[in-house]
Amino acid sequence: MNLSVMKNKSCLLSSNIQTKKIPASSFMRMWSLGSSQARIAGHFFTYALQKHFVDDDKKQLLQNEFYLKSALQLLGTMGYLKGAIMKTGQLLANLPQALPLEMIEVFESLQFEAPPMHFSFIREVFLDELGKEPEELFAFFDKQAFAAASLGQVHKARLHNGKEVAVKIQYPNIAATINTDMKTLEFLLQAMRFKKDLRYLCSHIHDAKNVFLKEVDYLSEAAFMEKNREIFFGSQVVVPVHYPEFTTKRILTMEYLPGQHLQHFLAQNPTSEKRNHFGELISYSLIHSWFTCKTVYADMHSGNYIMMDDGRLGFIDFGCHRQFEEKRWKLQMEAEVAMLKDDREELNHFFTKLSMHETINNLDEEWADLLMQQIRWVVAPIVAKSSFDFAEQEYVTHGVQLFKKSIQKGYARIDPFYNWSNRALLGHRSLMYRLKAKFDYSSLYLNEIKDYL
Amino acid sequence: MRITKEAKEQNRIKILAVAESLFSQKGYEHTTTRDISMACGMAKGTLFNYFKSKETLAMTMVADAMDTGRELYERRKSGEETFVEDLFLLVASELRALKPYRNYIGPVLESGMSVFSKTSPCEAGNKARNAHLNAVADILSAHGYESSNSSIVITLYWSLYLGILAHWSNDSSENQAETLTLVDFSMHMFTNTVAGNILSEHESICNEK
Repeated sequence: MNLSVMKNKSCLLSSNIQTKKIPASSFMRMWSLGSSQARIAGHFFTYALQKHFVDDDKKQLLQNEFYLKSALQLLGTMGYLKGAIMKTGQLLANLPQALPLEMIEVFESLQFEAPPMHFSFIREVFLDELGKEPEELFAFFDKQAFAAASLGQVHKARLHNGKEVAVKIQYPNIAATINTDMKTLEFLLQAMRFKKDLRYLCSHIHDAKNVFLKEVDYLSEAAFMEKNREIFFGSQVVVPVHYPEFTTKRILTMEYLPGQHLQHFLAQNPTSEKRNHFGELISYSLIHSWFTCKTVYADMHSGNYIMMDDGRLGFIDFGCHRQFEEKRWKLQMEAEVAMLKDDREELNHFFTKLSMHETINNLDEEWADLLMQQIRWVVAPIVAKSSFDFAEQEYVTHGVQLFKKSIQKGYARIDPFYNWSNRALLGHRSLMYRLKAKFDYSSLYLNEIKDYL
Repeated sequence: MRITKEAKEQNRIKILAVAESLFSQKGYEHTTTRDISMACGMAKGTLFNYFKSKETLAMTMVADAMDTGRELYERRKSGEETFVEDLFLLVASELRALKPYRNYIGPVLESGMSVFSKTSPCEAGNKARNAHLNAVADILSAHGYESSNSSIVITLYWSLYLGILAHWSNDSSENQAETLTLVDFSMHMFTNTVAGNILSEHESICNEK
């Protein structure tokens, strides 16, 4: 069975369960700097990822095909069970340098927008989680979801005290499907006999699984949300208050923040002042949380921000994050200081640790050179020390080229933390590009890092 | 000594309550009719006047719970449910009422609602099956589909329903969440079949080829 037939089958599978494909995968979101760039990236993807295969062994290729078919069938079923496929999509976004093209195509074709849970379903989740039906708990509960979340859906409701709230409800049994899915992925990688790097790929999968499993615990999300509420208190970034009496591991009830998501905001042709303003606030939300909570907020996409009419920014989803351990944080800060100083010698030590080598002599120089170039691109808005134009064509093109090269290189031997910080960074740059934001990013960043300089 | 109808009903209720308690304490397999009759303070023969066997007794308990589940469904439904939602609500409400019997519902249904017999040898099982399928037929009718209990559509439904019960009885996920997704999946599949979507799927497969 060739890939196009498999794709057709996957389309059929998806129609069978009355779902539709999401318009863009996380990976494509990451590359939303422009469709032509995305296409170019795709070509490099093909080239870079195929080399992972034992391509001179026909028997092996046939075996790979068999595993892909099995994966397709399995994942087609799991797609219905929700979550796992979407989480796999997120995982792919973290591993663009490491997975074979065939697998990505199969997975991407299977990325479902989960069928919404109907109200009868929601009622059962409420009874299991809170012991009462939604109508018993709230003065009003909208039976129709108003937003999809990666692990569930969000409904508007009103408390008996009149407060408007957003209630996020998780698909049942999602943790089990994520566990199973990640095991399947690991099995597939083993079965596909990668030439190299299998153990590093598996460590990425384990790491991603842990982050995702934490994401399915809404109590953990509520705790991180509360922490962020404290650190942004008094600023123009608004983190909704959550209601513990209506919150469990699978239901999260929070204050409803009125406003617009990025797409609607941009559709109204806002002034450059407004765009820059929100660009600055989004950047602040990332940097301030990074330095204060020592945590990567790894879900920088437009759905998680609300442009409020009064000029404040609603910051509403705190599921996907990864906290630094103290030792790793110290290393990160030393590296960031070295990045600002363009201190290659110091950074080589960082690269050695990042790529889990014993000594600097084992460092892949070509890879280190490329990483150095990426770092210079990343710190450009900081060293500019003035207003920086994130939509400036030369900057954007250069960034895309560098990350294309990185994918081409296909370097899986890297600390899994890099996946999350990279994801946050690319998510941020993508949002800034869409906003065509131009502001003094440098002051924002230097103000946060000043204690480490 | 003649026994009044009310006293008979009281005895029946007592036997069921005692049996339920013993099944929970000792397990269904390890509870005998002798245990039940002794705990009720009655002769074994008297117990058999009410229930022919332990299996019939247990099936009666399950059938009563299914009745309670359907009453719960009637109270919960708003009339605005879609076809899928309506069926889902019925099954979910029944499962909720059956929850106290989940640990031993497997062997009870095996003897009381065998899939290999259209007319169950167990009267209580037969009654429970018919009552459930009548509720399903009412839902079908309310959404514009007519059927009889012997139709292929109902046979398909019954197979799915027994499969759900079998899965649920062994479901170790928290709050049997896995079964909840299975109910939803099954009801989507069933309503798609009833609505004729399977045919269009088949056509699209042929077109692919």
